This record gives sequence, structure tokens and C-alpha cells, in this order.
Amino acid sequence: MNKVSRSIFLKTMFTGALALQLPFVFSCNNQGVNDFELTIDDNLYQVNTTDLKLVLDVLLPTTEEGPGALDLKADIYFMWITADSRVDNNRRVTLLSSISKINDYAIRELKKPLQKLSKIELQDFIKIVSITHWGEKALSLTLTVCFEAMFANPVYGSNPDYIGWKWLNYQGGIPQPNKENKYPEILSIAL
Amino acid sequence: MSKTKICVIGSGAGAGPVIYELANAGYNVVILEKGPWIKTKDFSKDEIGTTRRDSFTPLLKEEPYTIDYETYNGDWQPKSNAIAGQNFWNGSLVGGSSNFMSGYFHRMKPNDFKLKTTYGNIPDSNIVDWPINYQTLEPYYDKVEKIVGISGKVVNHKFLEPRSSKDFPFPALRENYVASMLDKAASEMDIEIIPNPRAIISKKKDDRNPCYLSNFCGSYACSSDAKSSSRVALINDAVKKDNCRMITNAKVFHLETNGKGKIVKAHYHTNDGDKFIEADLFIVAAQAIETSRLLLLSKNIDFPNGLANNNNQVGKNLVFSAGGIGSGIITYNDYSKEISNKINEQGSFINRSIHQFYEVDYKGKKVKGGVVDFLFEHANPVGKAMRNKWDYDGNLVYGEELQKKLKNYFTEQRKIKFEIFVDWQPNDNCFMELDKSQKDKYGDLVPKLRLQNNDYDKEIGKLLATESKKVLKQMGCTLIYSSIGSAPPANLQAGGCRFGNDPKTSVLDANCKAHDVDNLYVTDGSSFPTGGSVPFTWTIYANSFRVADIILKRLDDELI
Repeated sequence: MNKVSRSIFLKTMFTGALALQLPFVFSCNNQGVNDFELTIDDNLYQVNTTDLKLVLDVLLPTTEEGPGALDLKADIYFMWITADSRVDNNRRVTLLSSISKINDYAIRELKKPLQKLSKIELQDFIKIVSITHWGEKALSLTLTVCFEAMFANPVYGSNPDYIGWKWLNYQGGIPQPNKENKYPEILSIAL
Repeated sequence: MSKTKICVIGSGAGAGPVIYELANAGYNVVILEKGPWIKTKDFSKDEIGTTRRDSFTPLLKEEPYTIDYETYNGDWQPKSNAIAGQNFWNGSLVGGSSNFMSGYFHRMKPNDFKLKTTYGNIPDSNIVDWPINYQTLEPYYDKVEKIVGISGKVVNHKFLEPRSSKDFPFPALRENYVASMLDKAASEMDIEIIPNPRAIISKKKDDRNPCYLSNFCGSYACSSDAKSSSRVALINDAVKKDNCRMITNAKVFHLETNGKGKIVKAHYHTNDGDKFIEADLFIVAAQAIETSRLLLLSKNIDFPNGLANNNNQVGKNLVFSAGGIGSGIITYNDYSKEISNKINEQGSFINRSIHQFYEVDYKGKKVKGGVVDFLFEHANPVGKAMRNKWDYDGNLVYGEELQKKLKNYFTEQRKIKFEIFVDWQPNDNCFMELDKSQKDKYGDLVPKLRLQNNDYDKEIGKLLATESKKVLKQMGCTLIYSSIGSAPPANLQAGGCRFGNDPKTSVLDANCKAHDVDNLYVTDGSSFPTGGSVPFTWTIYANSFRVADIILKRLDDELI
């Protein structure tokens, strides 16, 4: 499969905050996309979505305790937030580069990429990453993405059927956002 | 309708009262608001849009400030907040940051107007008494209660401010069981704890519906119009008049004078290019930092240092409403099911504060202390979850351990917070000026801030934190914690255009009219030489009503 058909070139699709629509990202993801690419300040960033899911699944796995990052659609949310030009560029760049950096670190330290690690090896490796300065920052920011995906109203496309809210007995405030006044649509109202 | 045209720049708490009074008196009022007009129906309790993406403030990469940071050797290093953070924008929209306030309202006390005379000077500070006293402002505090809308219950206590009304016009909001726990604990410690007035109405007022206990108050606009924002309480009424007009998305960048010390035009940026408006009288209320910035940006041949800045006082002596925070945890398992359900009731308020520490003993001397508010931890769930990312050893927590931690935090306990407010001593290292090397997206020079506070304030804050933590312990909290910091709260800013009787040391006279400019008034918190040990908003509203009366009298007496 050639790279063009397997990748989402977010730089061309997301031309501004008003063009940010999570359902679009969903539709792309459902087509079996393996990578997405994004240009920020003329630098190209590529994220392997399989690696992303592996990392997310360690940070917030599906357990008897509660839903995992992938149940919450945090992987899709990750793509959405990193494509949003209103989000601080440093944060976006850290997030975008973190997954490949973690994979490169695995190759260097364990001589194997993330996708070749067993579940136990992956968990042990993420522990090592988490105590490095850069790794702690990257994983911490990724956890924040998980939290946003967990607590966003489902109108954003994550937190399907309010599974995050139900898990933590979180009620949300009324009124909740709708398709017309959620972000980024609220910015159009504000113009 | 009078032909006199009044231009008001800004529409927040400092602008609302003058807009309301002048429009209702029949004057031709034009409001220039930097942001859009978002109506109540368009707001929601959306954490993503409101607090995670800051939809109602400018992007720092487009409208940054420069902030001076002190280095280890005492030098100052400027950094753009587009890189370093610290956002001082609080709400660029009609109603300004009053849309998003929590509405914990306190009056300043009589001694706060004569802080220097009463308590003496503090080393390394620039304290001066206000040019007006409490008695002058009291009728306007009262007016705010009635017109803007404040709920609560007056109880007598040692430091109760003199009042012209017996009680608040709106009864206290629904209280959580925790309020009674605090009352009991304080009583056992012989501490006076009192109901905290709130700028939230508890019963219907005109078109405004009462509080519906949304649980998302601070940082969010109100969806019943119960919160007493300038937009809802004052501007919605004012703009019903044909003589009051709002121009939105109008960023004023220059006030032009006529060569005789009088402003004739306000120039503003719009999406369709730059425009200007002519008026007879100009009132600036853009929040403290932006107000000083506009005056400095308005320099010309008549005012080479900036408008109203002949004595280089504009931007000096910024103050903030700050002190510290603390918290403790109530664990549901420590209580019966019935009581824990009451504690867990969402939306109801604690609304308690302690004024007993307004004066404290420090180094054998009675000195000014401050005020402590008690409240629940903010309901924002992402914020709450983020506080669970690290363990007590500072290690990142994730996986099943994180899930257990989140489950416990969200379902088995509730955090009670306190916020300490002490005076922020004005000083030579707390000011704004223009950064001559940085421009924003409009091409205007950005503010450069130096924001140092006084170590003395932190010492007083620590005293109050110690006492407040004892109260939490007495009521049964665990994991009690406090933090006394020097960071200025961005949403509680004042100063920069002091009012006073001496033009050499102040920008405005006692009427908040510029000493140097006959038709310029400033009605936000910029005029405050000190801020009291309380959030400023009630006093900003009150002072704006006072200045409105002064302007009305002047307009009656003379044709500007």
C-alpha cells in the first residue's frame, strides 16, 4: 500500500481552527490509516497510529477498573488536538514528536521497535521512558489528551456514550455544548 | 436626547455602570468593545471550548505580552508569554471578564481607604491612602447590591463594614452541608465565620432568572443570567435605549487629541480595517493593563510620554488581589451515607469566609491581615484529573494505578479549598510599560510587565494559611495543604493609573478624571492605589457608579 493512501496529510486538510471537525478525522481513521502527518512551522511530523495506540493503551488500559484510552477514542482525539492551530505549538510539537521518539528510544535501548515488544516488555519500557525528563513530559501531555477525551462531551466524538463520565459518576454542567456552539463553532459565533 | 456624545472603551465591570447610568440619563453613548457579543444562549458548560481552548481570549501568539522574570543574580530577563505562558487576557467579549467571575464579593473596609495612615508604611512599598473614603463609596456599594445584584445574608461580626441597607436584596444561595460543618468547626475554635456574599442572584430580577446551581460558575458564563456580569446586569438594559450603541470587534489603539489637551477621536482596529469615532467625552475601562497600554500607545506631540502621562505615572504601581490557597479532603467513608450524599450534592455552595484575620499580630505589632474564602474545588474534571498525574514522590502515575486514583478522587472524596486574600503592596517592581521591540497582530506595541510582589505580603499570607488550615483540620479534613505564592492572579488586576490629589504622583484626580486631559475618565480598577485584601470587582462596580454620578453632574453643569 503506498504511503499516500495510508496517510492523512493533516496539513492540507486542516487549514484553520474553523475547519477542525473531529468527525472528519474519524472517517479518515476508519479507512485503515497507519500514519498521519502534520506540518508545524515548516517542520513535518509523522505519527504512526499503531505506535500511538500502543502507548495510549499502556497509559490508560481497558481494565476492570475502568475504560481505556482507546475506548475513549483518545487516539482520534490526539490527532484532532495536534491538528488544532489554536493549541500551543510547543504542546503540539511535543505530542507529535513523542511517539516516534519513544519508538526510536525502544530501538536504541531494546533493539526492537514498539510493535515488536511483548505486552510486559512494553509496560516495562514505558516505565523507563516515564522517568526520563523528556519522556515524563511527553507522557504527561499524552495523559492530558486522554483526560480531555474522557471528559469531553460526546459531541466532540470521544467519550462515546459518556463512558468516561459514567465511570466516574461525573455529571457535567447544564447546558452542555451542541453541534452549533461547541468548539470550534463557538469561534464563528464570536466573530 | 442630549447631543453630547460619550465614547466608552471596554464593557466589563468598570464600564458597565457608567454605560448604564449615562445611557439611562439620555446621553448618546457609544461603546467600543474589543471582542464579540456572545449571547447567553450561545454559552455552555463546555470545558473543552471554555477553559481548555480559551475560546474567549486572544491567542498569545497573536497578542502576546512580555513579562520580566527575575534571574538568580537579580537581573530582569524579558520573555514573551507566547513562550513562557502566564496569560493576562481574561475575556475579550461584551461584558469582559465579569462574564467568567466566580462572584465572591467583598466590600473594602474603611481602613482600606487609609491603609498607610492606619497601619503605617511597609518597607519597599508605595502605599498611599485613597483620595476618597469608605463613606463616599458606601452608597455605591449599596447600589451594586440592588442594581447589579448581590445575594447573601448580613451577619454582625467584628469587621463588618458600615452598611446603609440592613441586608442583601437577594437571599443567600443554596448552601451545601459543608457550610454547616465549617460553621461548627469555626465556632468550636471561637472564630467568626460568615456567609459570603455572591454576585449571583437567587431570585428572578427583570429578565434574569435565578441561579440554577449549575456547578460550573467561575470561568464559565452563566446560562440563566443569574451571575451579575456587566453584560447581563447593566449593558443588556442600557442598549435597549436608542441612544446607546455597541460596536463589537473594535480594538481601540489610539486616542487622538486636538492639540489643546482634549481627546477628539478614538481610533480602533476592525476586521474591515481601521476606523475612528468622534466624541465629546471618553471613558476608558479596558482592565488595568490594557487601560495603561492604551494611554501609552496614545502618545503624540501634546503628550510625548503617552496620554495623561506627563508625570510618568501611567502603568506604575500595578496591584493584584492575591495571597494563597489551601485545601483539605473530606472522605465520604468517614460519614454516614446520608451525610456523604449531602456533602456530594453538586451545585450548592459553601459560601463562607473569615474576616477575623483582617488584623493580625505580626512581630509584636497589629498589622493588616486579610480575608479567607472557603469553597469547593472547581468542578472542571480535566483539571481535577490532571492533579492525579503524579504520586507523592513525584513519579508519573498511569495505567491501572491511575484508574484507581481517579476513581477514588472522583467518587470517594471531595476537596474543600480556601483562598487567601492579603494586600498586594504596590512597589517599584510591579508595573507595565510598552515593549518597544514587540508588536501584536495589529502592529501595536505589546505591554511589558514586571510583576514582583512584596515578601511582606507572603509573610502575612502564611499567617492566614496557618489559621485556615486549623479550621479545615477541626472540621475533619485530611491531606491539608497550603501554598503561599507570589504569582499575580491575571483576572484580579488593578492600578496603573492611580487616582490622587497630586498630579505628580497620580494619573487621575479623585473623580477619576485624568489630571492632564479634561475629557478623559478611567473607571476600571486602574485608579486603585491599593486594593484591599479582597477581590476588586465589587469596588470596581461601585466606583464606576460613583464616577457616573460625577460625570452626570458635570454634564448637567456644563456643555462639554
